[in-house]
Amino acid sequence: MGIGRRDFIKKSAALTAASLVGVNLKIKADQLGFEEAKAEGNLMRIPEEVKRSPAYKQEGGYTWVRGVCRFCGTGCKVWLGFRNGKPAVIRGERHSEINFGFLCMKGMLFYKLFRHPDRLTQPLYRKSKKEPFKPISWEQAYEIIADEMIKAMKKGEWTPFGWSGIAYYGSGQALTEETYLFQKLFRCIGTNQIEGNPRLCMASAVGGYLTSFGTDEPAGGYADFDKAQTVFIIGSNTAECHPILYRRIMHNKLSRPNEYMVINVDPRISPTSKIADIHMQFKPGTDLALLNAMAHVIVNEGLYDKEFVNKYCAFHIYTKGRDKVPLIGHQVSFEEYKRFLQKYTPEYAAQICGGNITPEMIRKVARRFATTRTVSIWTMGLNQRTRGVWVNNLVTNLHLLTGNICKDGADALSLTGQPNACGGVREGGGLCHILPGHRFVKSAHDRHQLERIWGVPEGTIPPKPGYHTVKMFSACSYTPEDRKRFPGLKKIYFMWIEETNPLQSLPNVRRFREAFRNREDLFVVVNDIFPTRTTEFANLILPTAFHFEKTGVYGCTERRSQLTPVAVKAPGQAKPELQIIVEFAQVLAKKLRRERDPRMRARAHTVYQCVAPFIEAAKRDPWWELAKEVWNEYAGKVTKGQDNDLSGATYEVLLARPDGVQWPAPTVEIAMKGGTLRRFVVGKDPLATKFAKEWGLTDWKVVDYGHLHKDHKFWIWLRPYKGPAEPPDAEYPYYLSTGRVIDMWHTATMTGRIPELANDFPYAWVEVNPKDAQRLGINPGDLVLIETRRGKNIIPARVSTDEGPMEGMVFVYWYDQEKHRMINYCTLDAFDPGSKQPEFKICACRIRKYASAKPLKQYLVKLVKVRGGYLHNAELDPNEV
Amino acid sequence: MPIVSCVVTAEPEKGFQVEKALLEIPGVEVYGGEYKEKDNAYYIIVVLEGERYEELEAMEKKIKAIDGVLNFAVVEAYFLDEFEKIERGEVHPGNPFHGLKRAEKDAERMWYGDDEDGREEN
Repeated sequence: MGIGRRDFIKKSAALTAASLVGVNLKIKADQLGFEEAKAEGNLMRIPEEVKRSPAYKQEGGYTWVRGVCRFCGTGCKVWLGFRNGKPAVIRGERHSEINFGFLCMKGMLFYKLFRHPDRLTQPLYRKSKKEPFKPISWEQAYEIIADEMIKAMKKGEWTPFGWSGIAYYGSGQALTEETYLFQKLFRCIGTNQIEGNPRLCMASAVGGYLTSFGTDEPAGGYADFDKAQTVFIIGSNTAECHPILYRRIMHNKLSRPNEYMVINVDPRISPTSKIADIHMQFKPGTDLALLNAMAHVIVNEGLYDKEFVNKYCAFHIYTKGRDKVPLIGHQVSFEEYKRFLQKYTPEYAAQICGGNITPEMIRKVARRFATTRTVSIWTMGLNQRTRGVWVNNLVTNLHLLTGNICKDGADALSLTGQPNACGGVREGGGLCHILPGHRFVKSAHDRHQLERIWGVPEGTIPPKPGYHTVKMFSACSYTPEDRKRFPGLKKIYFMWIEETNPLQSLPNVRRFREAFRNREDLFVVVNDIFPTRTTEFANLILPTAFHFEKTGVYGCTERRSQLTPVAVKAPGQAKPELQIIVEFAQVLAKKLRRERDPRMRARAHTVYQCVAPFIEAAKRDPWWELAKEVWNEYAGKVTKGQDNDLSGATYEVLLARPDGVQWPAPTVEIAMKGGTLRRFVVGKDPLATKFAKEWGLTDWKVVDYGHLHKDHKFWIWLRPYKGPAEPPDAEYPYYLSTGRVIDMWHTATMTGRIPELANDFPYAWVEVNPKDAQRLGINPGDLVLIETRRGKNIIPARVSTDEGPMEGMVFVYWYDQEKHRMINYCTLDAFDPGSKQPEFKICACRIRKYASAKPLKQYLVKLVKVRGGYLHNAELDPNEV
Repeated sequence: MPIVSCVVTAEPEKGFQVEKALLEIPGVEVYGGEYKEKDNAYYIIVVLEGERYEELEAMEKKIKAIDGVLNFAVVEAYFLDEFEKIERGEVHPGNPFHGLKRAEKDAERMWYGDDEDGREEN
């Protein structure tokens, strides 16, 4: 590219940036020309329908296609620009109500993965996990999967949750259409052994919303940041994990410095604390006491919204032994709630919380919360806990008590970490106990309704939920301890893992890794774009298309669904998952028809019926048309009439909208306006309006139409303080907590392969409080031995006086793939009794200096060529587990 | 050589000082800065240019470290040169596959049995 053209591009880029913030630059983009693609081949694959839509344009010599960022759950809208058929530029969508044209560094680099040389490009198979992988055809792959699946069904049992021997484990990164069709297939085969990694990240938020609202997902959205006066951030490092949302909060803080208050509640000082007016630092796991104390102040000082509480709220408590359904418990009076709170004086809570928490600070924050429009946001700090549901309830309680809900600038908003944990897994039915469209496995009405929509026989979907994640993987490890922990546990013989890396991301991961390595009778299929710590133990690896290489919808934090159309050709033989499912199901149906067992034979037709509506589209155009057909079934039929109604959000609408659609969006007309910004509000939410009319609630301004709340009210829960499952003790005196760093995403299978990101963070480290470091003789960079009751890590120390954990606590990032630095060898797999989400955030550990600082290298899982095929680099190391 | 345009948000009273500091960073071009009263923020429009993205990352780090910088957001990124290098297998020379096309050929040859003589590459 010549200097003239580069200057032109620079000027043009500067002008685009300036236009977003209204800065007048004294330059003009002259017409000097463009960069030219040199390498051969046109990589564009843009459907004709997209070309006719607003999601496509020719501008400045580039061809542009609009989609969503691939990484976190914010849902930033991006334009991908092509020059002569090659991806050449990424630009934020300025008309998006989510990112307003801005992107983060991580988000703009995903193009590097389109043609990354580590991409998996053909199916790889090995019969035994001791052998190298050999490339096979897709047809062979389908035959093998079908045979192994049938074998596993026979080895297992037929149970109330269906075939016990097979399981599916999905992802909050899979597209909605993919999660929907995968779960449909497995339910039609006859099992509810369906789980996904959102169990590890937001199951407690689901439990929180279900109990507080009677239905999942938040009432408001990001727009509330702009109208709020207070942002209450708890258990979230927003600056690093959701940088574009953090930018929005910061923007508001700067423009209204005296009016806008940011309160950060976290045992660790993080970059998010930078803009906080108040940082509340407390001992990990004590926030239940803190939140109850805030409620105590609000109630005792009469700061609660009496009208809202009297008219729209009820009080509930769950008492084990007395109440049958934990989600319902039983109702109590406001007076009983007041009595419950009396114990939680600010003095009592401050004593429990430690850190910098004082009674006066609690009073000050509670008063601010109650007397201003407040938005709360949280992520894993609340969710990854053995009391995750409770602590979610306690935050929402504050909003309900103060009427800080269902109005501009007031919301209880759980941020999601993955781009499609909400849209795909929560709404698409990707967990063992739920069905698509916010239905429940346990509900016969819901099951039969879905069976009718699918056109399959009544009784197709087994009536009981399958195993939740920890139990599912325990059914793979199947040790005597597992069987003792989960009485009646049935062994799993076949697992299909979609686009996720559980053998790095699960807590207490050693036992699962050992099982997957040693169990030759456990057949593992993994769909992915790169080799991972999970493909190491696969029998069959299926190469799939990446983002923008296939079509589908992501649903982000704020009930917003957005479409990313295919635009780039996938490398090698990589296929979209939808095509894989449709083609595989036909092979499986044929094989099931030949089985002797009548229960299996009966499933042949059901399995075929599952994919029959999509077979022709899969043949004609698996990249666009197939996805559209699946979406039409899901959004148009399955969500229709449900609270997450997306029937108006057709692909045409999603292409037209610069920032997608927030459900409920029951008609095209509503969807074209963006859907429903504020849920439960009569006159603003079409479902609330309809509901109020039908039930004669004429003077109600808000209606909780959550199906679990028959009184149409929001519920304030009485949840006592309870500490973590494994608090520090004399033997393991420190708290261990884990989290993410800005440039690395989850297990770094993608970001680890982008050198610019990886070079900044080639390995994980442990953050140690300076006082602890001094006491233990640990200098910055020293290698530190971290030990828990489950495993150990050797990681370099970072000691900072500006940021980091409180005294008595250490913090470790979990992206590192090197076995001595995989912190999930140490974490705890105790889980919340309601949400079944494990407590990654808190366990007890001990630390000591292991060695002085020494240079460390990044470790990435790779496939290497060996005699007779391919093996992972780790498989060549006999000490690896 | 990738080109990235960004908006740097600085504390209002330190905006000018930040602008000056930005000019000291090689590869960072400052196109202009302005205090916006409405937002109570000083916005500086910069374009980063580097041989590789690694250099841009280093620039980003330096920018964030300047006293008074509150935020750094990307708006547009041009990367065609870089993309083509990846496509040609030039960016990851240490990779055993040496580029996608090579990997595909290797795998194809293996499937047809050409490697049965035990010949190992690399």
